[in-house]
Amino acid sequence: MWKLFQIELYKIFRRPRTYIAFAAITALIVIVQLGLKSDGKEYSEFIMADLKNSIEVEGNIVNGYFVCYVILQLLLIHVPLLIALIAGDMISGEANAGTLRLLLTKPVSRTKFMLAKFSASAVYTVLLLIWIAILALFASILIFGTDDMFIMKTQYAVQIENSDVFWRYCGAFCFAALAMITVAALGFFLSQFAENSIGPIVATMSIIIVFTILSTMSLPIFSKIRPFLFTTHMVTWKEFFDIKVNDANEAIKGTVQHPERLIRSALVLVAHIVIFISVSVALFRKKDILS
Amino acid sequence: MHTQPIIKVSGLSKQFNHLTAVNNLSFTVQPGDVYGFLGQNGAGKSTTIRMLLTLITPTAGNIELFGMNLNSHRHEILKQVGAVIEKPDIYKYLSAYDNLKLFAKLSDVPLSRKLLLDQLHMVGLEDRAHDKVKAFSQGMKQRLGIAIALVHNPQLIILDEPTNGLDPQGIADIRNLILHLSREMNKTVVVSSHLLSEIEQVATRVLIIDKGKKLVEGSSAELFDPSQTIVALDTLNNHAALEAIQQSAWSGALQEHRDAHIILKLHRKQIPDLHKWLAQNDIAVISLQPRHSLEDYFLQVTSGKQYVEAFSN
Repeated sequence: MWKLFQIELYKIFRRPRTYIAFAAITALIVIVQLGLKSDGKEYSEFIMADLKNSIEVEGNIVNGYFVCYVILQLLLIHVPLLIALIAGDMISGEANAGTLRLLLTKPVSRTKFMLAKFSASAVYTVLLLIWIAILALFASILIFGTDDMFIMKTQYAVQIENSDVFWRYCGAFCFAALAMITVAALGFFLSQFAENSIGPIVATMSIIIVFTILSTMSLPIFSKIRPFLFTTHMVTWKEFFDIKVNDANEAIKGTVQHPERLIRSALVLVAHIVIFISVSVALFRKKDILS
Repeated sequence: MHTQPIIKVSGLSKQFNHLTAVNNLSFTVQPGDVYGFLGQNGAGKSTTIRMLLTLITPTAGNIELFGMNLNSHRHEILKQVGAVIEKPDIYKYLSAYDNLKLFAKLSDVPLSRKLLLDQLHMVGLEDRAHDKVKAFSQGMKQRLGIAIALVHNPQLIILDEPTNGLDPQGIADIRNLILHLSREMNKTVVVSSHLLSEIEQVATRVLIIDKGKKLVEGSSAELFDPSQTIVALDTLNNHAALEAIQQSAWSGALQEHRDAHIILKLHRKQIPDLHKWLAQNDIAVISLQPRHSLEDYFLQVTSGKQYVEAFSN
């Protein structure tokens, strides 16, 4: 299994396609950072316009933490496409290239083969998120500095102390990794039904778009299925930035408002991963390789 | 002395929805055989080969390799098998050396750099070892595919249509390689090809299948008995020639007669005598073609009377 995993990782990182995602993310983040660097003051005035008369905020609002939050909100909607590019290609790409039949004539177990392939795509996903973290968080801190983090929610604003932010990002990135691994598992599951990569990649994105619409539309008809859609839980990373307050409406350092939501969403995402991968392995074990 | 067959297939069948691709097929391959696996397109050759390699699950039947059941001993069996299935599709973004190293690792063979390069030398790719496969010709890819199939020193080598897309030199190279593997390295080789003349030159035993069923299995010597040579005769006046043959000692050899050709079956050694007799009887011969080859035999058994009709038309 370890040997297969190493081989799969080797193949992923020897393919030029792999680096498209890293390049695209770098370009996007740098563009956002440049934009905020040049027009950050106007942007902070714009987002604070409604609150100007009710509260007074001192310090640097457009700081590294804030910029990272903006980037994550923008980026995590599009990252699934980059994940699907690799995960959707894991089996179908090999079938299309004809290498699948060659691989499976070697003395390797199909179950281990599938688990190694999925593990490699999960590692790719995690590395992609680490890269986002490096650029979006660490580079933004270097460029914009740090200060208290100020976030506008739908009905209220949250201010988090400078020293209370970093661990939240660690949690948010871990949660985002889990959400993106779920996308990878979906792409991987669909990958075995096709003999070219386009089908699984488009199908993965289509499912995410449809499910996201169902997750966000507040129509009663969708309310029963919403909790079971993985897309509903993909944005739960934002819960890390909703801080608990005491009776005096003061923020309690080191807390999150709804930790149960984080746990529930994480469990739903893990359940999706387990289901997608179990079904993929079960089907692949019996699959006739005709490519 | 009884030797255990390398491959023993019994009652093998594969059904794809309503299509029976392989139908109750049984055959054995002995150690050292170069086993020619023949059939027209869609006859079930590739499906059978894929079942031997566990790529396709049989609907019914049993496969034993090296005396072990393929289902229960897949891992042990595949360690001793090398295969090239149709065109050799290899990772195009890797070099020949990297591809070979990757598949050696998959086959549990920790090969040194020198041994990997030796393997590439064997198939004539040592000078291109570090070039990306995307720049390779079809023939070079095929040779690399064979190097990958042989990298773990398997006892059994299965080549499905190994000459597909190759130029005459490439075909000759593959033929020589098969003979080398069999004669010099004592490997057992199963080879299927639609280029039947190639099989005829290398196979020690032949299996012909059609519509998934076994038509005939035997040694090349048994199947291509020179006493059963088919001869197609074309003359300026086939009607008169036919009458003359019917009234002569050659009448017993007569098989079919149509306007275009007269078909006779006789011993190969009798062909010069027939030629002489035709000349003596002033029969103006346009062509006298012995058709004793695997290809004709193959067409005879797979297509029934198509062979005769082809001459007639």
